[in-house]
This record gives sequence, structure tokens and C-alpha cells, in this order.
Amino acid sequence: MFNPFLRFKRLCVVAVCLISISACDDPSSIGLELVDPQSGATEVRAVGSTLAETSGLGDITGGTTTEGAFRSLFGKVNDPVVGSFFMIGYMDFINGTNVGSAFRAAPVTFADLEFNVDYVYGDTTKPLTFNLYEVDESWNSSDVRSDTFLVAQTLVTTATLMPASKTVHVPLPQSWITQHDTALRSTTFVDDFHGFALQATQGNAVLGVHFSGSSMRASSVPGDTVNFSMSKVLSASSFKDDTANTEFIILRDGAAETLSVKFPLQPSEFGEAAIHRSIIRLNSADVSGLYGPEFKRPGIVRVGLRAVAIDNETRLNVVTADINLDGSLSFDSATLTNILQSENLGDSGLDRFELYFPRESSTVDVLAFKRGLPSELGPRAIITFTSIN
Amino acid sequence: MKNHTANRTSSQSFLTFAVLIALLVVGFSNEAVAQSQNDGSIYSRFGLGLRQSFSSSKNQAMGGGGYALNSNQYLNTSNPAAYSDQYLTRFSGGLTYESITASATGAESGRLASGSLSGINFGFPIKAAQTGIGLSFAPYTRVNYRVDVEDQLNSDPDSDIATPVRTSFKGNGGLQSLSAGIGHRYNSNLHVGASIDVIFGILEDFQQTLFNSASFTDRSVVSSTRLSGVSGVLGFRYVVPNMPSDQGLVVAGTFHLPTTLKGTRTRALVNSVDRDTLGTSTDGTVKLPLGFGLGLAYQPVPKWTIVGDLDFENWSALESDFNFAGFDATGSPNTSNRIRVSAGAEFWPAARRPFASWSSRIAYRLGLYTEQSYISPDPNEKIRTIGVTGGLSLPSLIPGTTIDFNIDVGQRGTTSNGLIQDRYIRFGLNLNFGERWFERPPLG
Repeated sequence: MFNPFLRFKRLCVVAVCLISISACDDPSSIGLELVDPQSGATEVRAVGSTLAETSGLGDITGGTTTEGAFRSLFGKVNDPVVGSFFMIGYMDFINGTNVGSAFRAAPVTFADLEFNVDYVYGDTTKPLTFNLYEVDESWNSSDVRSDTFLVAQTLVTTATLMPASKTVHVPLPQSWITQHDTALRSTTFVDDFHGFALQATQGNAVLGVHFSGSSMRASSVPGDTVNFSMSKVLSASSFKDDTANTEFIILRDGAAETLSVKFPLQPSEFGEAAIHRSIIRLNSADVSGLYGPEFKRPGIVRVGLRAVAIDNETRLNVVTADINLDGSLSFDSATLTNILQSENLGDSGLDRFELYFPRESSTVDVLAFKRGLPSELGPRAIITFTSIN
Repeated sequence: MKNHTANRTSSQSFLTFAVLIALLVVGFSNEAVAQSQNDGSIYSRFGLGLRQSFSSSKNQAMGGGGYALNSNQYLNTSNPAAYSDQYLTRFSGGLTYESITASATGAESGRLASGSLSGINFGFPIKAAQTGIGLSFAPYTRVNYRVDVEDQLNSDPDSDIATPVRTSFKGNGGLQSLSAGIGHRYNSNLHVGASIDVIFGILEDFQQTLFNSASFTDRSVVSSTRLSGVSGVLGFRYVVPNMPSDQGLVVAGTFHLPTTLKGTRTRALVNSVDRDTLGTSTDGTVKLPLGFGLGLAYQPVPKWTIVGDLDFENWSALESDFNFAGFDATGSPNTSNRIRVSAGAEFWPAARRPFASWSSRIAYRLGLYTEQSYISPDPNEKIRTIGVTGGLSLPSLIPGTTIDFNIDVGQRGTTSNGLIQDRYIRFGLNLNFGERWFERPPLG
């Protein structure tokens, strides 16, 4: 018996088979000669530039136990590359959990500072003498930069220590204890006391006091010592003019200065282009030969690159890069590519890039770049692009 | 008992039929979508794209002509005069799937496939077999090409690692035609009609640079030309009187009015999330030329219909403020007139036998055509196309409704003078619904 639907089904099967056979897509370069390219070939070009020292944003050296810098840096160094620079370390404390009624019942008879010194930059063989001042006013540490100095006029004591020491105790004088007895035993200690400033007077090292293991200790009952935990830190930086090694351009962690770089990628200089990849590469100098064996330099691990807008206010942290064993740095990210693409099209609002140390880096280590390098070794943007006719 | 079994078989078959249709349509659409929209002929890059025409599934299977055909079974949008012949309200539409094998001298051939809408037609009689309206939407030109070039690139001078890079030249878009027309039977022999055609669309050419690496950002430079304008078509069909019994002869013609399209061209840099305009947009016009078509339809017996058609479009008079590939707006005209000649035949065993068996109601169609393109990459070498068409029209359970399968096999261009030869095969699936609408129930 004739069944039209059976015939239709067969027809469908044949049609689907035919379509499947012809469905294989295998595009080729056939016809390339007939294409009038809208843009040029893809190529790679290195665009050279020079680093410049700018008084831009200082490094963020303020921090709390949960964010920002985790050390208070103090000391003074006569560095063969950087020159003479100083760090004033600020630190504040809060009541510890073991401050109880027994402590508050009797006058405080003893107090000292216990520092966990986990960072040393400089000459470890010479003692470091510093003055301990009391900070006069309440202060904030979040996002505070290294060009911020606090008012601390009252000298509490002077101490000397060896930079190689891991744990340092600085006894607080009885006069200061008596003067602050009420505050130390008060529940409003945080509001009544604003911390200390450590300013070096002699020596050739910068020390870092870590939150962890550092505290102010006090006792009112013999054998019963309470801890006031370190709650916030700040390190202020200053340097002596005309002492830096002029052979180098310097990026120092914890400093109030920064380095900037501009690349000529605007349409008038580079031509309009579709930018596919951008690598900003710098080669830092090996300056280890300029330092003696007694000079300790822990070293930098990572550097950041941020974009600064023409308003000189807006900044965008673009990408960080680890320093390679040969001292080179390569910043490579899609965000960087997109910024340079906008710059190339003339609508980025970009003024320059700045090198910075991430806020997690709480040191005074130095990255040095040799001045006057040929363009292939100086700061350079390696651009993969397709020019747009 | 026998009737009961027959009914059950019939309903099962209908279910199978419906499922197969659904599967075919879905599968076909997916197949079309899965392929890139850019995978067509490189010749679509030139001018305003490859010229397209779709007037009905029947016309498509009979060589693409059919000016003289009526609109009894299919709404024939090639000639507005044919709108007068409608008895039923009709809705029809179709998809085309095309596979192209491109070859050139001294190079391996490439295969590309793409799917597209053939067109959508809607028509209804105002007065049956006297005055009717037709609406249609169909491509006027189509741009869809892709040329890929693979290369290696060392993106970092300080390393020796090469990265694969692919430059893809692509085009897509085209002009569409949205048409509304009316046809009227002036007397028993002469039918006249007119339509207004809105022509609009975007022609896009891309140069994409693609990396298979997260370290790179893929970007494209795209040139977009947006055009729109209004045109018109006048048409007639003349049924030659005094033909012998059971024979019929119709002569028809159309005149396509010249028109000016207004447009804007922009260039942009595109990635996956952004589109940056390059420079400023430019405005301009493109003057489309006049054209005409002539057709003949002859029925020696009711089962057979034979058509022959000629299209002429005066593209040598093309004027444009914009440059197009193969067309320099400021240079001497390098376009040529488009000429298309086609012929076809239909064999329909059930002619004048509405209650014939299902197999007798299948219509078989065959056609052939040749075309000289209006533009060429090489002004000294005309691009010619030659093709053979065929089709089956399957009646459905719904009276007046058919499902049509068409095929079109042909070749375009030449491998001489550095040009490309396309060998293509197209499959068309068309649905053609017809029903009585707008009927006034008899009083009393």
C-alpha cells in the first residue's frame, strides 16, 4: 500500500544527509588577493621612553593589623645609591584583652616597649640610637602615605640597639609611667594615648617593627604584666638633597617620591592602531657592588604599575610584576593593553604611568635604574598591533 | 474495523509528519546558525554585495524567473501584477542553506557554508481573482565572505616564542527589500500592478586579528555602510487570448524605478566588549539604477508550465559617494549591466484534479539560469554565473499548503586572471500556507 508519509520521511533523510555532507566548513586564504585590507599587517614594535622622578603620590606606609603596611620603619641610612634618607616610625597601642580589674586596682610600677624587629636595611654592625617621642594627637593610619609627619614633641626616652637584634625592649622611664598611670589603667586608653614616634639620631640602618610580637607592656602588680597590642603604624620618609648617586634613577619603597614613564603612542606619533598586546619592560640595575658586606638589603619582590590621569588625581593600579632574576620587570595585562589602545585613539585621559610598590610591601628597599641606557634596554613598551590605515 | 485501522494509521502518520517537519526545521536552522554568517562567496565583497532575488519557492525552483506566473498557488512577488490572481490568503517563507567550494589557480580549495533567510511573503485578495495585495521581505543584496590567513608572530623580542595569529577578512550584511504592492485585473487579459519597495541595510567589512591566547586582545576594524531609500516597481501580465483549448500563454514585464539611497559610513575598532568609532562618519548617497524584466509563461497542457525570463539592470550607471570594493566613486565607472536569463518547467500531474492522489499532487520543477554580475574585481573580466535548479512541492494535509524542497547547483566566476571560481550547492526549504480569510458568512 502506498504510504505518502513514508516517502516523505525518506525525502527528509536524504535532505538532511545532503546538508550534512556539505556542512563541513574549511575556510582558507583563497580570495586573499581580492581583499583590499582595511588595515596593515600585524607587527611588533618597541617604543622607548625614559623614566622620570616625580613628586607624585608617596608610598602607602600607614597600616593596621588588617590592612596596609604591617611594619613601622625607623632609622637613618647613608645609602651609596639613594643617598641619605631618614624614616620616622609611628606606632599606637590599644588595651590588651588581659587588662583586668587587678591591673587597674593599683598604680603602674613598670612599663616598656617590646619590639619584634623583623626587617633591617643598612649597616648591621653599627648601633642605632633613637629618640622615643610621644605623639600629641590622634591620627589615622589607613591609606596614609609616607610624606605624612605627625606632631610628636615630647621626648620620652632615648635608646640604643644593635640592628641585628630580633627582639628589643625599650624601658619607659618612671616619670612617663607616673604621668600616664591613669591613662594606662583607664578603659578610655585608646582615646587618651596616641602612640609613639621613633626617630633615629645615630646609626646607619632602618629597622622594621612588625605588628606581630610587638607591644607595650605594663605591670601594676608584681608578676602580673599586661600587654597593649600595637594597633596601627605609619612610617614617614625624608631624604637629604643632593646625596643620591646621579648614575641611577631610584625607586625606593616607603618613599615620598615615585617614578613615572610616558610612552608616545598617540595617533600623531604612532599612527592609529589596533593594539593586541602591550608589555612594559624595564631593566633594573645590579647595584650590589656598591654596597659593603655589612650592608644588608633584603630586596624587592614585586613592583606595581599604575596609570595616572591628566587631572593628576585619578590613579588606576594596572598590574604588578615580579622582579626576574636578571633584574627585569615585565608588566603585561589586558587592562594595560586597553589603556594603551585608548591612548592610541586619543581618548584615554592618560597622562603617565607610575611605578609603585604594592602596599603589602613594607620596606625601604631600592630599585635602581641606570640613566642614559639605549632605548632597547631602557623603559620600553613592546606593542603588538595592527596599524589602521 | 478496516476504517478504524486506517484512521489510526492516518493519525500516526500525521504525527510522524509533524515531528519530521519540526525536526527538519529545527535541524536546518541550527545547521544554518552553527555556520558563520560570513561564510559565503568572496564576490559578495564587491559593490553592494551579491544581488539576490526571491519571489516564490516555485520561481526559485524554475530558474529564478517567473514574471509571467500567476499567484494561484504561490504569491509571486516578482511582478506586482500577479497579486491580482489571488484566491487565498497566503503566507510563505523559506530558508536557504548554501555550501561553496572556492578554488583558485595554484591553491587548495576552501569550503564555506552558511544559512540565510530566503524571504517572507504575505498576500491576500481584496476581490478574489481581481484585486490583491502583496507584502514581501527579501534580501536585495547579500554580503557574506570570509578569507582567513594564518601566520606566526613573535610578540616579544626578548623571547623566541612564536604565537599563532589569524587575520580574518569578513563581510556580512546586505540590503533588504521590504515591499508592499497591489495588483489588479484590468480586463480578462491584462493585469497591472505596482509596488513600493523600501530598500535598507548595512554592509559591513571586517578585518579581524585573532590570537588563540589570553595574553592578546582580539580586535577588528570594521567599516559599516548604512543605506536606505525607497524604490518602486511597475508590472503587467498579459494573457494572450484565443489560445487553443487547454493551452495558455502569458507575457509579462516589470519596470524597476531608479532610486537614491541615503547612507552613512563609519569605521570602528571593535573587541569583545567595546566599539570605538574611528574618525568621523561620512554621509553620502548611492543611486541605484533602473531595471526591467520580461517573462513568458506557456502551458502546452495543464500539467506542464514552461517559463522563460530576462532581467536587465543598468548598473553601468551606478553612482555613489562611497567607494566600494571594485567601485571607485571618483574614478571612471567600472560596473557593468547585470543581465540574467533563466528558463524552467513545472510538471504537476494533478493539474485541474483537486482530488487526485497525494503522489499525483506533487509538483516537479526544473530550471536553469545564467547571470552576468554587475561588478567584478577585474574590470576586464566579467563574473558570470551558471546554474541548474530543481524542486519538489509536497502537498500537505491542509488544502492549499505545500512544503517545498529546492536545490540549486551552479558555479560563479573563473580561476583565470587571479580570480576565484565558486562551485555552490544550495538547499531551500520553503513553507507555503494558503487559507481563506476575511470571508463574510452568508446571511440567513
